[in-house]
Amino acid sequence: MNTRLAGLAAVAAALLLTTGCPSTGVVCRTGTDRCGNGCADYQADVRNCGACGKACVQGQVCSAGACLCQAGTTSCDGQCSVLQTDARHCGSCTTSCGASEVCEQGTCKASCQLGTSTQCGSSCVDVQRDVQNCGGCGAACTAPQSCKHGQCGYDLVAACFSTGQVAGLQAGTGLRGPLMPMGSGPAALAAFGNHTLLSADGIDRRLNQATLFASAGGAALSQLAGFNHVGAVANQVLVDGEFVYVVNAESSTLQVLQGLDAGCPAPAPVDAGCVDPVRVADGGLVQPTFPGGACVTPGPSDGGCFPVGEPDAGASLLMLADGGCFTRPTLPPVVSPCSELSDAGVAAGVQLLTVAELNFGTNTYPQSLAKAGHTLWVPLYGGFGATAAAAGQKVVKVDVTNPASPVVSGTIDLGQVDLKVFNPDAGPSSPRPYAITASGDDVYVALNNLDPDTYEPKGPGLVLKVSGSSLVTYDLGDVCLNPVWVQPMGARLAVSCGGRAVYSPPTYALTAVDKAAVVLLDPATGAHSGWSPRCPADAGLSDGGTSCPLILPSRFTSQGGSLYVGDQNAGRVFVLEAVDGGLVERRGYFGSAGGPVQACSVSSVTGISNVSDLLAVP
Amino acid sequence: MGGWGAMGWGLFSLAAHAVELPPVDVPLPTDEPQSTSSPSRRDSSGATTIIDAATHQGEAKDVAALLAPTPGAVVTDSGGVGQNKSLSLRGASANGVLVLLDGVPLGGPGCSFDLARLPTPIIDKLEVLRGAAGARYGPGGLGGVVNVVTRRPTSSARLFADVSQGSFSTTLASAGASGALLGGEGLVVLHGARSVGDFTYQRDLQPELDGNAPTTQTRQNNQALVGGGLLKYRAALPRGWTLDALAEGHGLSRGLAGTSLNPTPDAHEQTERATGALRATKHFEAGGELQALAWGRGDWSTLQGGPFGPAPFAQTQTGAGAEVVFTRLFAERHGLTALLSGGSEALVEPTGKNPAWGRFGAMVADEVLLFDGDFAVNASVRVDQSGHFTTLSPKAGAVLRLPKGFELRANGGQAARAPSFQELYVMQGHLLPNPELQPERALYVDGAAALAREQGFVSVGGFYSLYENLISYEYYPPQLSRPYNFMAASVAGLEVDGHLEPRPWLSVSAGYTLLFTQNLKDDERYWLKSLPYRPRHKVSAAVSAGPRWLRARGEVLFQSEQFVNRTQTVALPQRTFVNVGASSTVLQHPALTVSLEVKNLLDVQSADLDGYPLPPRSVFLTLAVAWDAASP
Repeated sequence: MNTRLAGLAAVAAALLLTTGCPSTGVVCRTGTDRCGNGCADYQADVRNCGACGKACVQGQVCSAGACLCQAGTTSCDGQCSVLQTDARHCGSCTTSCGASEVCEQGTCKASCQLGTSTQCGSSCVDVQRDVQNCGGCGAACTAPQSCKHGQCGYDLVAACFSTGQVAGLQAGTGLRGPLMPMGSGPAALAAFGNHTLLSADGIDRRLNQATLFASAGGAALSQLAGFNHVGAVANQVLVDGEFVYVVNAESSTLQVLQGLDAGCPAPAPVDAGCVDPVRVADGGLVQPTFPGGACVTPGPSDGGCFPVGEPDAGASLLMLADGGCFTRPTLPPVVSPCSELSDAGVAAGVQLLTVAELNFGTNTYPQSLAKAGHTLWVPLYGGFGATAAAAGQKVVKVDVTNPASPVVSGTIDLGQVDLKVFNPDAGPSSPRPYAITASGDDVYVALNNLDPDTYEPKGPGLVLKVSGSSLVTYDLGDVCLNPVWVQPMGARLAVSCGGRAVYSPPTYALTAVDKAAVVLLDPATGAHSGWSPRCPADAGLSDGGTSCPLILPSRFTSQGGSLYVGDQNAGRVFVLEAVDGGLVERRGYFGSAGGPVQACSVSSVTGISNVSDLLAVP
Repeated sequence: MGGWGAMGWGLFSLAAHAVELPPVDVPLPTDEPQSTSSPSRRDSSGATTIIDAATHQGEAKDVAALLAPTPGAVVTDSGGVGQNKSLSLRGASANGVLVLLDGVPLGGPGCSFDLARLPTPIIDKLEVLRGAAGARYGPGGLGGVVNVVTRRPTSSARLFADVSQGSFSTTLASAGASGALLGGEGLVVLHGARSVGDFTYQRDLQPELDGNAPTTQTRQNNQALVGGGLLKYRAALPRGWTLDALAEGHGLSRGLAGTSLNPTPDAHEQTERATGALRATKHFEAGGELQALAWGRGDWSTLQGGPFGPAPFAQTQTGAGAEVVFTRLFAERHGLTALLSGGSEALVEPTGKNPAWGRFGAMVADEVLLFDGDFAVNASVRVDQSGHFTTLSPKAGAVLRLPKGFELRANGGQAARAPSFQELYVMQGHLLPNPELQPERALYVDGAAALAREQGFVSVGGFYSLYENLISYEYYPPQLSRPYNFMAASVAGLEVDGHLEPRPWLSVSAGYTLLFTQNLKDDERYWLKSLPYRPRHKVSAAVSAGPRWLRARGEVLFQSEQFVNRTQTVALPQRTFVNVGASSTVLQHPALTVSLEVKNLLDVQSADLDGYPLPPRSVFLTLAVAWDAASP
């Protein structure tokens, strides 16, 4: 009997064991790897650049897993120096100032002379703009950032919907900062005031918040504890002073939030006078004293220096080029004076309160919004299928003279717009107004122009100009199908077009995109010129397309005369510039300044990465 | 409410030892051999609940209502008579529950089955096997199996009919006859239902704004028209064979109302189903039994309007198969079962991919009876080939009968679900297929203690399952979703079930389910978060009291909050439904019964899934008549 039982048990156990247990455990978000107890972006984290614990030194940033000199610095003898301010490399790598001299504007001087200069050791720096001394001596920006008003921050922020992250970008270099967790699915971004990033989350149905700038309390783009609930599929966020407008597509609502502390002043810049570093001789450590009498304990007992960006919020020792150390004092946290601290000790962010919600009716699907004067313009996309689609196909004007009481003040029916359908015999098309922007008194609406049932492009990409009571239609059809975003760019309009996606059996993977483009349109003449995304001719021949996945232009933003275009397929950002009425690729596979910026990482599961929005930080 | 299948010993237990069976709700006629498709027999140590449809006549309008109180079961409801209803067992998705009609698999491989397509008039009882059932039923039963046992033909003449009229302009009717036929027994049942389906519900048009009052909305395009029938024939054949034949047809035409946020006033679905089966059974004088089942099924569905577009999106799923099961007790201790099955499944769909595959399965099981059958240990292994997927499903279980009606039961094993044709090959609206999908897999253990006495029973059990390679749809550019295998999850739970009949005129039932689900492999957005649409708590309680000429009943169904997304940030609130009713058999021969049922007595406003409003308070009046020639 026992033998039988044992036999049965053995058979059962063997069968179970041979089949194995499921692989379980927390994994890092896409683009990050396990490092200690957390996850690090080895591609862009200066503390873990290329590998866990491999830190860059001061003045360097991490890009593609390698430490580089921060923009504006020059490599001299293997160290990154600001030639304009570094007394050891003043004006050039080979020029060294005297022992009692300082370096200002690349010239050795007896003392700092500019009104904007602060003396940091033997350097004369503008702590409002200097990325190596941003906000105070030694307070270097540790990511590819700009120093804006004494704070380190990115020039642009990309939202990575699929991976639940945001990534900061530096405009000039195209470098990316480390991927930062942001809710679960950031879909739309906006800046509230000067310090807060708002991120409408399509999965969590929340309006999340993050810091726009780095502080002693954390890196830039650190998510804050504060959030608000928003409706289903919050697709665009518009900030106007203390009011935040959110269009919730699936809920068919316009949600109005008000910042309760929007009137608060910006955080005071760090007092440069209290952060004068104390140089420490090689091999010797001195406990420096700072105003107020507080002593800052030097670094590790072995006399070494803390690596740059040590995550502790307190004082840290930073390594200087000559191998010595100096001490960086504790900087006050950069949070709004009106902000609160949550129980977890994380800055809660600004307080927003939903003060109004306007329902446009079921199946109206408002997708975006633009404000001109006291009017919000909201295109209604309509629901799935012809009947539900009919609930949309309008642009609604909402009077927000009193934002807390929005009132529909007019409707523009798009039913009369000539959609220039390619083949009228193949059935009707639907305008499908998706994106909108205001330029002066005029409003421009991007019309997808799709089959109401299949979303197949049935006509050319169209832009509708609403000027007073007149409607003007621009046909972008020769280069553009399915326009998805529109923004002014100087006197012109930039329009991105998603094109016609082709899914081919047997895998039904995305195999082609037709007439995807970014178009520069001159509203005065209707002339337009398009940039068509291209992969190198040999891409895909040997690797199945992994070196250059199909490019699906989506939302974009402009900064400094450049257009930053997000990609819905593989997380890239392409940089274009307007030249002679056309668009020239600066960063892309044929860019003069290099390849596309890999803003969002591609999921190892899906092979997809979606740049859902881009924000130019004000 | 339901009986308790754990007490329904397997064939070998009965054969080995003259056990005194505790009472169950549906005692089987001594002259009717139990189908080998029955969970009580195929998986004797499994947790099986048997629900007698006849005792719920007049109160349950659909199978979902019959199943809703079952511990471990969660019914999701699109709202309204004839509208889609699906079943989750022990935290598995609806496509991880096998639904059988007298042993014939319904629905396509790996697909969830719409319970609205199972009419109650043809049902005798439901056998619900909770827990991964792959070892005994093959791929698909990650969460369990529901075997729908249709009405039995009778040797004596019997006529029956009922008609219900109720809220939302709903009418349900059925009629049938049974009796001796061509040397055997025959049965015919016809049924139909019609519901306009419109109902009012409350909706907050400014959901993110506090303090505003909801408005009254009307659910539209929620109509349904149902019709169908059942034919059965049973006869004793020469050489000890028994033949059971079944033909069942069902048609459903319904509006698809959509969600409250995005109603689809013009979406429509039409489905038809035809099922045929022949089962031959032979008992050998030398011992043992052979059952052979051959079946065929056709399932046609057409979607049109709304998100499906103006052109009909028609799909036809067909399947045919055969199964041979031999059982025999060897050496008075080894109850051996050998099963071979084979067949094919095919799908014809608009894009022309038209996938098809063959299916083959083999299972061998041994149930070792010890201590005069009071302790039974079973082990089995099943191998299945579905198209190019091979799945291995081992299982071990044990049942220990203790004095005074106590019993202990435990199981452990593995099961799998091969992806459906739709997940693999068919583009459906905004859902892309992925031919690279692999089967989902579950490892599970469960255990229970039970006490059964003449007046009732109580059972307390726990279970734990580990899932891997779960299929989930993810964003695919620019506007679609595509399925991938990437999730792992655990499901742990507690099930309490009890039934008491202290007096002939009084019965009380209660059930409780505690369900913990966790995503076990993901980043911190999802890791350790609950799986959506799995309420943590579910409570059901029912009482029925009174003589046959006036029987009153009441039922409470509570379901706690359930998350609707994977990050636990959006949830459906908890809900409690109270249903009451009364029946009176005013005549005995023929039996004439009048029933009045009030559903959702408290008029609770709630919704299911991602915004499907559930009906408000509703009232149904039913008149049923039955004449049996054998009755005195």
